[in-house]
Amino acid sequence: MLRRLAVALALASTPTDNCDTTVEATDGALRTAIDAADDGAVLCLKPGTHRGSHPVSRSVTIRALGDGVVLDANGEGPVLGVLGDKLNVELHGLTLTGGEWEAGGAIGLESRSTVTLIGCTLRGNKTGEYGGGALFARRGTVVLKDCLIEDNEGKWGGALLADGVSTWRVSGTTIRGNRGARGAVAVREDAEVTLTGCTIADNTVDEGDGAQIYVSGTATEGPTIVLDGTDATLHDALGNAEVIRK
Amino acid sequence: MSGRQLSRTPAPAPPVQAKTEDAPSGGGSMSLDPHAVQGRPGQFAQQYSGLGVQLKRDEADPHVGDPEGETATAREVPMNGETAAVLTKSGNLHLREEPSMDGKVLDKYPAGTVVTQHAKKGEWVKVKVWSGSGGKAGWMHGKYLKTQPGLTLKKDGDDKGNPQDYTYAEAKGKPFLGKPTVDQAKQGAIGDCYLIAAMGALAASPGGAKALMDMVHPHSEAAEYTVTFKKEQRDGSYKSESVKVDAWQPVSGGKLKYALSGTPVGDMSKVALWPAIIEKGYAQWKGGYEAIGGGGSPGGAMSEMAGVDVSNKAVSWFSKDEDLVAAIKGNVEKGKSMTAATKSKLGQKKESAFSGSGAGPYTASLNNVVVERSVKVTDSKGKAPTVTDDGKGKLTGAGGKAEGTIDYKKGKFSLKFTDGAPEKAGDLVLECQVKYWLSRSPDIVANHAYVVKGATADGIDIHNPWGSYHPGKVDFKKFRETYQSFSEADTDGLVTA
Repeated sequence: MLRRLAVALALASTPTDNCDTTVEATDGALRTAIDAADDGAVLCLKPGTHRGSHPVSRSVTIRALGDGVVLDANGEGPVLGVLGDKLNVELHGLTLTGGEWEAGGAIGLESRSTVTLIGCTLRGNKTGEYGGGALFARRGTVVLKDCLIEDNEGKWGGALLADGVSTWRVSGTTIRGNRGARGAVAVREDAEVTLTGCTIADNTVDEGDGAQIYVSGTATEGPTIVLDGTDATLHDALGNAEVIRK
Repeated sequence: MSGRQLSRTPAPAPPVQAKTEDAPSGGGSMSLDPHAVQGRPGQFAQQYSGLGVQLKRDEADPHVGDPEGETATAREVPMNGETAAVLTKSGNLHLREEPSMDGKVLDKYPAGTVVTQHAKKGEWVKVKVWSGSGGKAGWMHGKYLKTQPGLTLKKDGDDKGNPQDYTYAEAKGKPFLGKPTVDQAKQGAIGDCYLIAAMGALAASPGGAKALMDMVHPHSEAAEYTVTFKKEQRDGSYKSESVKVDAWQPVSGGKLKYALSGTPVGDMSKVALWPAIIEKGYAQWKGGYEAIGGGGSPGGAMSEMAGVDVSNKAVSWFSKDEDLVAAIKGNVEKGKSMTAATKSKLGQKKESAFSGSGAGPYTASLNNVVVERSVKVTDSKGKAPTVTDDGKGKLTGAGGKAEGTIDYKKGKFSLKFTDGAPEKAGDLVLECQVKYWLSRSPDIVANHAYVVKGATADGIDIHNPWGSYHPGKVDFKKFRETYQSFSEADTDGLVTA
């Protein structure tokens, strides 16, 4: 029994296990790896800065091999753009920075896909015309677990913008030091957002009495926000959101 | 171009069909709104039935709708500051000190006056008056107030005392004069370039143009319109959601202020009003003009108007110009609608920007709004020290060998060298990032949405939804330098749908 456990631990700690491709931190390497990946492939990134803005059009898992794996879009677009429906894109242990995009500086999700980030840091991303300095979704599902989202900038939601019919499940995540005109987290239209055990504080917000979460539906419907073990100020601009505090 | 809203918690005009009643005599017609402050449309209509003479008296000093005794016993109910416009057919509406016909008359205001509503008592509404006033408070009769989308305030305005130059004015007319065109989608004094660019992009494609024409239906001799948007559902389908939009539009100085900015309000027979009507409907749907003026997504707006999916792509994803051309040209030829968004900061490098001699002063004027901490002045011959800015308006040369100032808002530079001056002013090269160009020079505005009309081997054909300057054909080098992304809407399927 003990031997089996030891073997399992050894396998888990071997960095290249379960990696279909190991990617060096050299210019163009990640784009090439993503373009060449099979659907469902696992790409493991070596420490260093992987530069560029990367379109993703298949299901893929991108995992950091150790600390210090940075994806830097260098202002050329989002760090990752997810194109196509029914994809599953998972990111583990990465730092996403330098993204600049109309909506979702690091990742903008316009398709009906699922993006999952676990143990990731999103720092220093921004949007120009719209919002979600770090992340934006109009459709599909965003899952954030144990992430740090800081120093991002966007009009609607300095950090996150949940728009349209997107669904968000955010847990154990810290959102701080972001700057937004309307909330660090903005929730619009018919989006559904659940924040479990999150910290949302010390973000700079211009409107809505400085509330950390800015909510704005339409004349006919409002979004749904569940604050489970998450204490944050909230401004409901149209007064028709469903806000559930647990 | 954005501002704050008059109402702190904006509420849209209700998306409910409003009736139009004919006044029996002397009054023509008047828009009635079942959600008007008194909230009793039946009574409202009844009061106008057969009261032609009385109607005229109402218009000058409305009190007929104030049932005897009701106000005295009514409780004052807070309102949340929604914007409304005074809608009298003629004459002025009194602002009174108390919610009663006996209340002292404080002032009187014409139709179109913008107020915010803060409480109601019976049929009276406690208001603050903003058109030409700094929020003068009093009571007006609710019968003559109609809720409108909250307006954006002029720059540096607030809701605590700055008079505004906005009013509402009735702009009755046809939404379309033939098919909509790109040129008709013209942005005004509100930061909704994403929406107007989306309108222009739709107008530029056959399917998008059809979608626009399907969106707007006039009623009641074009005094009111139904505007239908498409709301995406979780199963990927789109559901129609309609709002009723009246003909009253925000104006300043007698001209439309937002979409179709600068168009005089009067005879609207030669104006295709669809951009202003859709913009107002969008404001009602989303919670006021300020709510839509705080930035948005052109792709999202195209989707909401046409009911189609949209995808966004980064310019940098296309490493070869021919791939970029193929993508854009292919989309346009298929009948997709396209917009493009510029980067938040644009770089500029300018040689011979400075004039001056010797140690200076050297002056330069870029006619740009310059981004703080982005300035770098170098001497192409290496005689003068490199100069940078501190983000607070001060220019400093390396080693303290130069000093000067910059006015970021006007793009004006003044620079003196204390050690190591250039041989001539033309040797100085100025590099900086700009937020936008103050003039309408042939260049691109940062953080702005445009219509993409097509692409050829020479470049991308771009249309600006704001102002009269249009970039036209932008070569690939400049397109890559200035544009960040483009959105493509699947309007190609709408023509045959």
